[in-house]
Amino acid sequence: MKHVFTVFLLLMLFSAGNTAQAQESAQQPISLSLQQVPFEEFAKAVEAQTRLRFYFNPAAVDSVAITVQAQQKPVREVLQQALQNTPLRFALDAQNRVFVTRGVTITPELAESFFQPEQNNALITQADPNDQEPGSTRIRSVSAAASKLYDIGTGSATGKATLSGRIREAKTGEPVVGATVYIESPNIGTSTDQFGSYTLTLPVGRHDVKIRGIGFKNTHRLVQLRGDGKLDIETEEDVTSLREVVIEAEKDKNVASLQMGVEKLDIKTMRQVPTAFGETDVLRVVLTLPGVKSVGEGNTGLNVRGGATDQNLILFNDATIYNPSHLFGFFSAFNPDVIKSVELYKSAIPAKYGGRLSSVLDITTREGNKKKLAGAGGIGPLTSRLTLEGPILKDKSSFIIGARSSYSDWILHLLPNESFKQSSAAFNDISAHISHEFNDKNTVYATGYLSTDKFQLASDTAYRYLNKNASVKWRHTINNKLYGVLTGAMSHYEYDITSKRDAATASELTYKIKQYQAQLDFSYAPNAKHTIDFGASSVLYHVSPGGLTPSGAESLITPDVLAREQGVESALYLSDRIDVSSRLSVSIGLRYSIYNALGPREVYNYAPGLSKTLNTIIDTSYYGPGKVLATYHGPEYRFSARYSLTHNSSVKLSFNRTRQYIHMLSNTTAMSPTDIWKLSDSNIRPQVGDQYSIGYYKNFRANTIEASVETYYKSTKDFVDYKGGATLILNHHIETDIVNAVGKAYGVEVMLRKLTGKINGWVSYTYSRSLVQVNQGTTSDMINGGRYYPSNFDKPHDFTLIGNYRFSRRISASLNYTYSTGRPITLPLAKYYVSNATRVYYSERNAYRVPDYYRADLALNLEGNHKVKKPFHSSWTFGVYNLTGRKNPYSVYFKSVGGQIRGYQLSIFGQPIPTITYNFKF
Amino acid sequence: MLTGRSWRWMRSLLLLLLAGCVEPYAPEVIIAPNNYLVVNGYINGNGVTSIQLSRSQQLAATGVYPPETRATVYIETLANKRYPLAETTAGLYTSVSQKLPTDQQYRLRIRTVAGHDYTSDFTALKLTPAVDQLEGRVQPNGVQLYLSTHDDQNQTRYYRWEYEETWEFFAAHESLYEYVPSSGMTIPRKEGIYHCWRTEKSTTIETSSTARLSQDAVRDYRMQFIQPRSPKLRSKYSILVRQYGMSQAEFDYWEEVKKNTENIGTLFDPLPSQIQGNVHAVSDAEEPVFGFVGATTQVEKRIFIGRLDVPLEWSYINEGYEQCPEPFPAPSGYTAQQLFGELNLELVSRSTMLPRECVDCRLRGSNVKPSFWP
Repeated sequence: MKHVFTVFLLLMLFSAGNTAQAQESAQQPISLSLQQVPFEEFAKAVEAQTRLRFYFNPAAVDSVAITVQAQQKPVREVLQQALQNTPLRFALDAQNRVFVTRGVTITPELAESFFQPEQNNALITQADPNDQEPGSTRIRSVSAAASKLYDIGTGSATGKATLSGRIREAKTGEPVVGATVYIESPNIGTSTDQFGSYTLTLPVGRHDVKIRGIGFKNTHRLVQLRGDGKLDIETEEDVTSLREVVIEAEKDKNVASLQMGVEKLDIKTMRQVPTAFGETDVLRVVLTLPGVKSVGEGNTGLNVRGGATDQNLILFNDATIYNPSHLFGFFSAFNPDVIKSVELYKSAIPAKYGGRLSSVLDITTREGNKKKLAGAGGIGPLTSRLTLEGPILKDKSSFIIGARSSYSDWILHLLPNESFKQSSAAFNDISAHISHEFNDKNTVYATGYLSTDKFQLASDTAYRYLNKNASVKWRHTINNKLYGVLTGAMSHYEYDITSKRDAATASELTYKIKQYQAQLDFSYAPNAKHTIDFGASSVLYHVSPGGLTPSGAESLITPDVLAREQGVESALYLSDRIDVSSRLSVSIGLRYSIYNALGPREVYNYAPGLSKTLNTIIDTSYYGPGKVLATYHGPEYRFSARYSLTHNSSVKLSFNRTRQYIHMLSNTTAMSPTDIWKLSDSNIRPQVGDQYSIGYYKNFRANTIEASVETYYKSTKDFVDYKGGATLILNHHIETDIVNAVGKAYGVEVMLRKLTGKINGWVSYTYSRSLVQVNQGTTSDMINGGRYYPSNFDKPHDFTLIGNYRFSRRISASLNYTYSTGRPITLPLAKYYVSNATRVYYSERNAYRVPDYYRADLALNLEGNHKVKKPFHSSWTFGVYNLTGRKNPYSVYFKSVGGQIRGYQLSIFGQPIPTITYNFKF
Repeated sequence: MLTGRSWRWMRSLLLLLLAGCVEPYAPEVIIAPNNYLVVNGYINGNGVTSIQLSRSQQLAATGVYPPETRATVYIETLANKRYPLAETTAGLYTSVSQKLPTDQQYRLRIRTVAGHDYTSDFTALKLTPAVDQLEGRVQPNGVQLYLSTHDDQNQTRYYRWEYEETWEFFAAHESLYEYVPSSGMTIPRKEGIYHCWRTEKSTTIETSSTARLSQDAVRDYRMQFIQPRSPKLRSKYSILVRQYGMSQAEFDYWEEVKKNTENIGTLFDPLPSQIQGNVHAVSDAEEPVFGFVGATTQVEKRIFIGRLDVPLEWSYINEGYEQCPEPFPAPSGYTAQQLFGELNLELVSRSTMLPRECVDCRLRGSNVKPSFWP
């Protein structure tokens, strides 16, 4: 096998070597006359007349005798003639190398692109040039499947054919989502969808199909494509999550992908980011991305590119989540062990998604191990979690179920105060997911999610809220080029507050929203230039916006129940991704949404042109069940384009319009469980937003460093703002307390990432503004005299550093640094004396800012040894949150104490907080 | 009621558990003079109308609020009938005791000495019903004061209360002698400075609405809570509650004032707003004017709570006197001038003494027994 090894070495040396005129060499005429000579002699004879060099295994050729007669014939023909009646096959490459093998099928016509530069196609596999750690194990395992030539399809020798299939993890059988599948010349690629499926339309011929992605070892397959066919690929899990794997996926995303303004995080990246309570927190990591902000810590309301917290569509396996947080927002409501990845669309939102203005946060769970029973869990200071997964029918169906629970009660009960002891705060959540593959063409997925929060204040007022979600998905492959997904989903969110302090006012306040959704999506890839997505969806909303009911016989509370609201939001969409040339790709989409507010309901009619108040109600209309009381509809344009400037830089631009028919009412800045979601009706118009963005992307140093600059301008209209001192709970005429605001936001996001090597991470800087204007109706409705003012989450400067240093495969340290301008605040300006106390006169809304925010966190991850066969893997995470003990203002407030006005600044994490978490996996 | 208050309270409690900390916050931005007219008072339909006019100040300012003096103030009806008010002390304008017709709309008009005109909105006169009950109930952790009232006509609906608490207290030690600097003599003290009464006015805004209830009845409104160790319960405590009926507009105004000053600025509080009362500058609608002038009548109720009404095991803290030592003899090396002057000592007996703060209850109240005290 000496020669074979030489081949490897030579390939290693020359893989980036000169690109000699192979085409010429292959056509170079030679003359030969040999009779029954050993192959080696034939090879020498050819080498003597040409620049070709032969590579072969002597053992494979030693019994072969060659007979050839040629007069000034091209080398290729001579070779064909010589090997015609032998078991030997040959391949010619760009470096004038002839690889001769025995028994492996070789087709004479090579891929169109076969002789193009940078082509490393060869019969014998080469080591992956990106593999920094050459080793015999690696080569062996990859080469097992990768060195085989797959013969796909039958038929035409020319033209194009469609290759499709699914990519799964070898160990668990789970689909690999978002892996890039591509060939390098011509540059054709795609990425796997949420089911791990891909479709590529390629020229007929031989291709080296490369597969790259996060969390598994990069691999490739040699394919002889003769016609449409299927190629399923299994990838190997990358046990310690090699950083260089990540960049390969991001490389394609950053420069080559059409999508802009999208951030994808896999759970392994998220695990590295230190958090306050030691548990991986999906939303907290999302907050470190450029363009994503929050009003303060301990709060999971996201403000994406200057949008409000209700303008994000949070999907958990396609079911909408209304409250993504636990325990006052200190924990996100998602169990990190069941999550596979999180994708955030900030601009260029695909036409498939709609219903929210600013962003889509798509959280997908893992499918569960299809091969064996496994589990994972973690123990932290406030919470613990456990996840189990395994096959139901081996290789066909699997389940994963994860549960999480808090035990924060014990802290309360430890306190030496009677009312604390009677208090309690607890939460838990369960996520379950089942998938079953009936056959190649049909797969069904089902997800259930339940999260509950309960807390009680001194056995007096009890709060409870819960999310209930379920979704069922059926994926059907119609043919290689077309597949469809039918999704049904249900979301339910409710809260209630019970107060038992006084018998006379004992009461219960409830709120409920339910959403039923049906959606049909198709993806059609007719040829290499087009990928067409189309579909339809419909969402039915039921809102019980609140009711105050007496509890107990002594209660004097008169029941006050707001009328239920109903609405249907439907949409059709069509989008086409066109690869105009290898440099230019365009995606054009249109989504048309229509919303009907439905009866039964009573609706107040207000005098036109006047501020909506109780005094301007003209009359009341009643709409019967199912009657439409208001209809809104409109197109939502989606456009994006990518132009490659060079092979490692590109420019992208996008425009999208979004419409939102459901609004969150909250007169607090943060998201709180008592927020109310309100449907559009004849008095509340839908919100409409436009976003334009343009970005430049460049990769450096062989794609190990990527840089991007994105800038955007956004305008929104008819989003909800409040008149001063608005009453939101139990308001029968909420429209009188609401004003329609106009918003604009703009910004530049600069990001530099390095995700390979011992030191990796990212640095981002964002300059952005988010402004609001309320300039309609009467003077009393206007805010700040009708001028633009900063929104509650307008934080112009934002700098984030996420750094990770890998000491060894088992020890790594992470450092997280973040700085941002303080959020706007309305400050008191003067004091005056009324009714025995000093009162305060406030500034215009949001005229000032709280002090700037900065924080540094440190975490150390220690993993057990990496023996793959070990039944039980565990790791420890030690962290210090807020290393410098900076007292970042969580809130700034003023209080009248003993007739004096004093300002206070509350910091929640005002000192370094050490945490320790134990994670395990089996 | 189900307000956001308990929610906020609960949240802050957790925040504090999580190593949270509160620090003073004093930004430099609040520097403009901001001296706007402040109108404090109401049109009294049955008695003396007192209106206090003053000016607002910057937050950082100390000292008294500048009174607005020499203004012309009168009550005016929709039918143009005027009831004048006269300045009695600086900035305080009072009418004669009068009974106003109930079927009228009233407003207050002000012309400042600088010639600016201000007016409140017209408002109907509310008649306040009587207080049905005001009592203190002993609970394991203190005394809760409850108030109940009702209006059979269902006319009042919105209530506001102000109260004055008065309690009897004693200094740390009784000073029986005093040093007379002019004569240099020590003589038995003539005026008692050991036994005093302290009066505090309510600083919180107490309002309630029965608009959601089927009857116009306030049951067991929680007025004030007294801690078991409070010095208020040492011997005798009294509270006077003044009740006012008001319009919904005024109720909404007070609700806003409450939101703005009692709890503001945390993420979970409503946005503060530039509160507009019902007083406006005639010539400039944009000029901020503070205060709400309603028209109502006043109803009072006073109760007493004695030491024997509360559990005897409640031991009080003599607030303000915790640091007082036992009387000590005169420190050597000082002259009498120094001892009773610079060092601010007072005699307890002929030979022992204590700092003045420990023996002179007048520093914390008045040694004049209030007229209502039994």
